This record gives sequence, C-alpha cells and structure tokens, in this order.
Amino acid sequence: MRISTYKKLHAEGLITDGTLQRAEALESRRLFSLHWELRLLLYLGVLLLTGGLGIVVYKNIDTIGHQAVLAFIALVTAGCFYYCIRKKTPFNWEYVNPPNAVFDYILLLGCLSLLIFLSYLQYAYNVFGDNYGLATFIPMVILFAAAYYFDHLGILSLAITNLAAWAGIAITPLSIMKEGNFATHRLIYTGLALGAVLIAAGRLTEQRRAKPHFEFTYSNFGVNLFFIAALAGQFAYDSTYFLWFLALTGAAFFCYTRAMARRSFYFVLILILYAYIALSDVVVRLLAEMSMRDLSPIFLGLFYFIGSAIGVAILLIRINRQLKAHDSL
Amino acid sequence: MIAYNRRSLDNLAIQYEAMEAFEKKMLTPEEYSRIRIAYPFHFYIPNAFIRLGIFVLTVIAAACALGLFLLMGLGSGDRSIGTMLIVLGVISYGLLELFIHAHKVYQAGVDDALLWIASALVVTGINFTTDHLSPPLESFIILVLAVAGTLRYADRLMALAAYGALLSFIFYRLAEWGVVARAILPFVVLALSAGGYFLFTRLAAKESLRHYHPCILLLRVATLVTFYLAGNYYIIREVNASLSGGQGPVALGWLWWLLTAAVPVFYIVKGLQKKDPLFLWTGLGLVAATIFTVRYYYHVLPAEWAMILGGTVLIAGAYGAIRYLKTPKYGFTAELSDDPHLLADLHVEGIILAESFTAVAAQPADPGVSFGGGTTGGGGAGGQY
Repeated sequence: MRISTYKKLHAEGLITDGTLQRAEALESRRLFSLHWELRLLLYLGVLLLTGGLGIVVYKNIDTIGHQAVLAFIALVTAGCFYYCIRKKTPFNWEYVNPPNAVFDYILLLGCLSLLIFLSYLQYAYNVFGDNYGLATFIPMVILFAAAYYFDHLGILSLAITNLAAWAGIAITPLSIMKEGNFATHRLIYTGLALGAVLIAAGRLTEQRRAKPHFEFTYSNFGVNLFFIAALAGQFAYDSTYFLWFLALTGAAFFCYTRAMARRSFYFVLILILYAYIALSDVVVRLLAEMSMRDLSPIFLGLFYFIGSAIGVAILLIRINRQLKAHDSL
Repeated sequence: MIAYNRRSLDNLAIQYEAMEAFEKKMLTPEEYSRIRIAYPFHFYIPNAFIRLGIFVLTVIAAACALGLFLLMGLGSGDRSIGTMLIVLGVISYGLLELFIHAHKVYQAGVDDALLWIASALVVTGINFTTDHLSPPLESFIILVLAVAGTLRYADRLMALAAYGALLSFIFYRLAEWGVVARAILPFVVLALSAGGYFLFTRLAAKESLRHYHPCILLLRVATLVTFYLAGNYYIIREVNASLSGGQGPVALGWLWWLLTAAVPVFYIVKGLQKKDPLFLWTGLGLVAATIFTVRYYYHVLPAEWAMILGGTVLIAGAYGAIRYLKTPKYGFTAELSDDPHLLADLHVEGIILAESFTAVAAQPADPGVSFGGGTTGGGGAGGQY
C-alpha cells in the first residue's frame, strides 16, 4: 500500500496512528530487491551450462576419450551432490526451506548432469545393455529420492517425466499438449494407468502428509495425462466410443467433486473443459451420422456449439460464485 | 469515457492495496475489514482460471454464430458479407456494453473476448466492403479502433495494439515516399519511441489517468523495446533489404552496432540507478536479443562453448552478487522484498484477490440473471489454483 493511501485512510479514521507510523518507518528503510532477477540469472546459467556440456559431449564423442568426458561430468555431479548433502537442512516430511539461495540451483545442476552422465554411460559402454527399462528406471529412482530427500519440486517434475519415459511415454505437459500423440493403443492404456497412479499418488501424498506440497505436481500431471489418454481412447475407438465417453465423464465427475471440495479453480476448469470436449465429440459423431443431403447437420452443429459454449460459460460463472460462497461459511 | 463504473474502479484499487498490506501484516484485521466496508465495489470478477475458461467459451460461441451468419449469407457478394460483419461487430460492441452495465462484469473473460471480437469483426468487415485498402489506411483504421478500445475499456492489449498500429502507419507512409524517407525511417522510430516514453512517463504521474496506469505501464515498456529494435543492426538490415530488395551491409553500420550493444546496457544501468524494475527487466531481456544479433553475424565461438562460458559467468556472477548482497548495500538486497513486484502493477494479483474477498456490503444478488450483478461474493483465501 502506498504511503499516500495510508495517509488518506488514516485521515478518514479507518486506520490507527500506529499503523501509519509503522508503514512510514518501513517506507524510509525500504530496499530494492534483486531477488527474482538474480534467481533468473542463476537458472539461465544452469540451463546454459548443462546444455553446452551436453552438446560438447555429443560432438566430441570421437575425439575426447570417453573416460575424460565421463570423469568430468562425474566430477560436476559429485561436486553438486557433495555441496547439497553438506548444506541441506534436516529432512522433514513437511516443507523445508532451502538452506540458502543457490541450493536449489546447485541441486538442479547436479541432477541434470547426473542424467547426462547416465545416458553417456549407456551410449559409450552400453552398461544397461538392451535393457532400456533399466536405463530409465535407475535415474527415475535417483530423481524421486533426491526430490524427497532435498525437497525440490522441479526435481519431482523431472522424476515424474522419467517415470513416464520408463512406462513408455515421453511426456512433459507441453509435449502432451503439442502432440497429443497416442498413435498406438498400448499408449492409451499406459497413459490411463499412469494418470490414475499419479492421481492416487497425489491423494496419498496429501492424506499421509508426506511432503503435502508435492500434491499439486502429482495431480496436475496425473489429471492431464489421464484425461488426454481417455479422450484419445474416445477418438480412436469408433465402435466403443460411447463407453469411453461414459467412463470419461464418470472419472471427470469423481475428480470434479474432489476439486470442488478443495476449491481448486484450476482443476474445476480443466475437468469441465475435458468433459465438454468429450461431449462435443459425441454430438459431432451423432450429427455426422445424419443424412448429409442438406446443410441441416452443419446448422445443428453450429447451434449446438453456440448454445453449449454459452451454457458452459454460465456454468463456470455459477461455480465461481458457489466456490466463493462456500468460503464465507 | 471509461465504460466501467469509476467509483468501483477506485474502490477496487484501494482494496487491492489494502489486501496486499493486510497479507504483509501491515494492517490489523479490524482495519482491513473497516476499509473493505468503506470502499465497496460492484463488479463481477471471476477467478483467473474461470476468466480464461469464459474467454475461450465466448470465442467459441461467437465463432459459431459467425459461421451461422456466413452460411445464411452464402452466395451474396463480398460487399454484403462485409456489411454483415460490420453489423455483427457493432452488435458485439453493444453486447459488451450490456454486459458491463447490466451485469457489471470486469475482467471477467466475456468483456475481454467481446472487445476483441467486435474490433476484429469491424476491421475484417471494412476490408470486405472496400476493394482494396492501402496498408497505411488499414493501419489507421486499426489505430482508431484500438485507441477507442483503450480509452473506453482500459484494455492493456488494446493499448499495445494501438501503439503497434501507429508504428505501422508511420512505417507504411514513409515507405511510400521513396529512398529519402527510407533512410530516415530508423531515426523517426527512434525519435517516436523516445518521445513516446517521455510522454507516457509524464502521463503515468497524472492522477486523473489512474484507471489507465496498467495500460501506460505496458506502453512504456513497449517504447523502450521499440527504441532498441529501431537501432538493432539485424532489424535495420532486414527491413532495409525487404524495402529496397538489395542485400548486404547497410549504411552507418557502426552506429547500429553501437546502439545494439549499448541500449540494453544503458537500460540495465539506468534500472539499477533509478531502482526501476521496468528498465532492469527490459534491459535483461534485450541483452539476450543483442547476443543473438551478434552471433547471427559473427561466429565468435562455437555455440556450445559460448553456452558453457555464458552459463559459468552467469552462475558465478549471480552467486557472487547474492553473497555480496547478503547484507544489503546501496539500498539493494538479494532477499525477497516486501514490495509488490513489477508484475503487481499489472494486477496479476487479481488472481489471488478475486478469491479472497468476502461479501462486503451485501448487494441484493439478482438470481434471475445468469451473469447476475452484485459483488463478487464470498472470500477467504482459497486454494491457489
């Protein structure tokens, strides 16, 4: 609040003398914070450094000895982990503050270079053989362990991505959105299973209060993965699409009640949109089956989208009000 | 001039400030609730995610309605389609006013969507009705619509669109005038950006324009960026090539290189001197643009070594700065500050705010109307998402 506003409110008798004086005292020794600027630079630095190292290794595989490259990456990894283990605050199942400003970034650097180290090991010496499952399983375990041990949300996201890679899907939230690539049917079922596991993990995380702040990351990955896989199933199976639709709306309703109970606007929105996409697919399929002698299916379709979009918008407005009304009880 | 209720806007601004102060424990709960009762506002402001959803759905509904009209008008000429689009645009403006006045929406998704739909329809409609619009005329029409949209609805992106349209208008006018005009083009944009910056900085201090402060803030950033771009070697060279058709180095190369290198540094130094995050962040972003420009013409180092070197310097520099500022020096600190960040001026915290207001002066909610007026009911900080 600006000092002028404090003064105005004080003149109107809405705030006390003490509050105004406290605000003025604070204003006089106010500092300009470079917190976010410096963090951003650190983060960029870590990304550039690991990216550059990765390219150097990739390009010089033939010229530098494998041992030299491996030794250097191992050194970076070991250095980072040594620092993190020495500096870390004692483990706790609740949220722990990082010991200092750079801790998180050193840990990130360590984990990223560990990943490079392992994939290089696989590339150069084929340590895991043709056992690709193992090659993704080991980094996944290490990442999960690091995420919990050092309490790092970013590493948890890395670990979940690795879990999916292990299960056979390359996912990041962005690549799910971009590709929506569920070409083979096995991937649809893997996506469904993995999504369900992650949703369950989110729920357990919260119930057992085991790093409860990890819950959102689990649920976010889980819900998106599950419903995109389910939509892909509905699109892909022409004969049983209606069953998929029923299952999808059922699951959406289940998640929706939870999201409402937790008053999560984000989840409420994406669940409604997923269900809306599924419903629209059913409507479009039904219209497409109608006779195409005139334009009436197209007109009906347009009317459906106008009506349904307005309807869902009104629904969102109602829900917004309802969620807030619950708050004031 | 502004469509929204001015008193509500003022009260909302005070409530924003009070909420922020309350969260930092700079106000007692009693003071906070007194302020909220004394400064009620009557807007429907949904949660940011809901706003996004409503925005998308409004666009879907409008697009399908447009499709319906186009289907019915199938076969009639361009002119009648153009007229229809303009009429639909005017209807959208009408709907927008209706939502704002009757249903008191404010940054609710519907108003954002309708404003942009209406403007787009009118511009497209004009294009259909006339056989050929010259680029300057087209830019001018967009400029007029965007300025009107900015003044009436204080929409931030509209303000940016207006600035872009102004630049494009000047660009096309000058490009028509041949070689001489082309030569002075960069200087015109440089002068315009600098002039615009000083103008907007002065306007930002005006209390009477308080409802437009978020727009003006964005415009200030935009002028800083266009000032840099007008002097950037890559831009100069490419624009020159596209206008004259000739490739190769441009005249006054040293001047453009100097500007490319010096402007970001100047912004950062200025930002630190004046403790102005606006300059600081713009400068930091533009350093990246300069690095890409230099690397585009001179391959000083292979990319990967440049990345390693740059990464190491960044880590070391930032680490050093954090250690150096462990105890605050010269009024700087590396700790999180109590002040709202630059983003705060753009009312990003509306996300939180929309969730945390309890029903203040109980407005009789209007159950018959779907977008019902009244206050944003309910409050208490809920889940963040």
